Amino acid sequence: MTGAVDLGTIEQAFRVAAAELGMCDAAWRFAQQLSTAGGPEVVEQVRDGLGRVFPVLDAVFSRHLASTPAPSGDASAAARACAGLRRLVLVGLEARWTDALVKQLEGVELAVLLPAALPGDVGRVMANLPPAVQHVTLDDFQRLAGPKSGLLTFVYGATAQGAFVLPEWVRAQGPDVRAQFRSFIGWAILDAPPDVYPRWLVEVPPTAFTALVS
Amino acid sequence: MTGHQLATTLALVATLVAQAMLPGWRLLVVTTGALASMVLSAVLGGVGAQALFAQVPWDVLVIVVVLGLFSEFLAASRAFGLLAVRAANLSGGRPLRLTVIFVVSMYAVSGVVNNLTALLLVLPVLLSLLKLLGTSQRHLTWTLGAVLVACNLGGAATPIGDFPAILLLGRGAMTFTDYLTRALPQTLVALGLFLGVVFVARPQRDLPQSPVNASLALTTMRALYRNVRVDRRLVVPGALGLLAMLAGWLLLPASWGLGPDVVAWAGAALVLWSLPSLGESLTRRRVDVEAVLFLLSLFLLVGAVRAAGTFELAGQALASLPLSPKGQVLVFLVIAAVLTGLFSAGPGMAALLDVAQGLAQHHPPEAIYVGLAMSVCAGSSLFLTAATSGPLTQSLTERAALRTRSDAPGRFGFFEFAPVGLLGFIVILGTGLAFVWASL
Repeated sequence: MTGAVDLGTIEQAFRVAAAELGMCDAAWRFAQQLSTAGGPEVVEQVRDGLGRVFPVLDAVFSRHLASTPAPSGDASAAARACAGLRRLVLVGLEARWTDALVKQLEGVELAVLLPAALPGDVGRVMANLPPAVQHVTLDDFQRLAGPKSGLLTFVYGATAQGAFVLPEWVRAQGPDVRAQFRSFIGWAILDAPPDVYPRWLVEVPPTAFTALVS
Repeated sequence: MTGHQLATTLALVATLVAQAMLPGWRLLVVTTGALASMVLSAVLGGVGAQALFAQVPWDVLVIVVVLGLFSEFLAASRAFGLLAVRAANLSGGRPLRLTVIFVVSMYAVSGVVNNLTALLLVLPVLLSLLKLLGTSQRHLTWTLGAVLVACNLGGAATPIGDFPAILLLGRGAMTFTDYLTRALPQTLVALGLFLGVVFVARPQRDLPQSPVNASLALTTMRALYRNVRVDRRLVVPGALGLLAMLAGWLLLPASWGLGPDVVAWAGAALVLWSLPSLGESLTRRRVDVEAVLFLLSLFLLVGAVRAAGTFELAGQALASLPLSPKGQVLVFLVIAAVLTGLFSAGPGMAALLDVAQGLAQHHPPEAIYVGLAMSVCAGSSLFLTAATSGPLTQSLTERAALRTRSDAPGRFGFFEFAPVGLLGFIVILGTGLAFVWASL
């Protein structure tokens, strides 16, 4: 317990939320709710307590404390990058961004490959998406391959040297897969890489993407 | 007792003991026991296998299968998950209120769908909420324990909630209305008493109130279900099908020969045909073969004992006890509850119903049968292993990897459940006995 805030419970709650909403989306929701219920000092307290375990939470809470408005989940740039695709596999999930993108990609066959590090209730995650969206794993996502197929993942901050993504992205776009899909799209949902050690994430060269949008 | 009677009784008892001690091999144990029982019966001069199969109450198995499919159909509508979220919101994140609301919800849900489905629908939401809110070992134990007891009570409240009541309905021991009008008030009284004790026990007393955690938990819960909607294509025919079944069970005259099994089958067929693709898929993949094999084996085991005349002997032994007729009934019901606690509800009810039928010849049958259902319900709540819902709750809790506020793993096993289970056992059995006492 730290003051009025039970960090252990908040950590457990964040794991539940991050598993089904995505780390960035969950962090923004937590920042706003903690701020409303306990004020900015609670946000700071939680960031200092959990930021090293969850670098995305650390980055988001810092932005919230610096009065950066929460992102609306505008998907127009990502949707433009997906133009011409008939099939798209989303590697990872960030609820507000995924919800927005799915709405803009009517007619595209969509599938979601959920991260394994924080397992959630897959049925509940998929129930939040339109019924046509499929759940795929690393074992079977290649059935969506084709000349008009693409992979898209969320980027948790990028520089000229590297972009931070979920480990599943590295496994999903290996040399064997690159020949099977047309587009490899990165969607930056954090404007800069995390300040602390990027646990849960891996750094890939920006050249791994055929398009990097924000 | 003849050698034939002794052998078939030993086969039954050995099978019940073995399946209770080896729950992981339960199905192999009971199917092998049934086979042994049939062989013993035939070899030792009793009835043959064909006669034993002819005695199996197939109508009960039909009801188990079709109501299972109906439950699966309703579950696919997501209505129960959303109801659980409503319940979470209603609790305002307050630990005691959360416990009470989920206990009452579980009672209501398990009266309509079978206990395992009810748990699979409600428990994941509750466990997620407890993870989001934070809990203590004490609060976790009381909440999950009370939910399990409520699940058993809900199952006993209606003739379609759980196997013991279905058996009474299917074998024609009671009509739908007779069972409902007697069992529902008794289970409600037991639930009220049980919740009263929970209030006194104050399971939340070592859990400090945290408005920050409560608001975080509730908003996160809403986010986890942000786009989830009830599938009206499923929930509307499901509700209409249930109403049609209820009307059939309540209103169809017995002289028509359309028993509760036919009504359940027709209702389920109606519901499954409303969305044929899902109906076909559920019928092919989701029939509860495990339950059917388990119950079929039990019926064969019990049938062999019945054919040997052992239950008549047991009835005579009960009648020879130096007690008043009322006292004999109460002793039987207490023994039934304890045996159910040891051997679980299905075997308990299947074996004891024959003895109860003997008692029902000398006492009001409805009082005896509902008393037996209450005893079986009490026994199901005695130990975590007494009903299949217990191990399921244990495994779902383990899978949730919940940690308490003191950062210890949240446990829910045999010993954690024992005090809550014992309380449930005493309250339910006491309520059942009191009603029986008043009816005799």
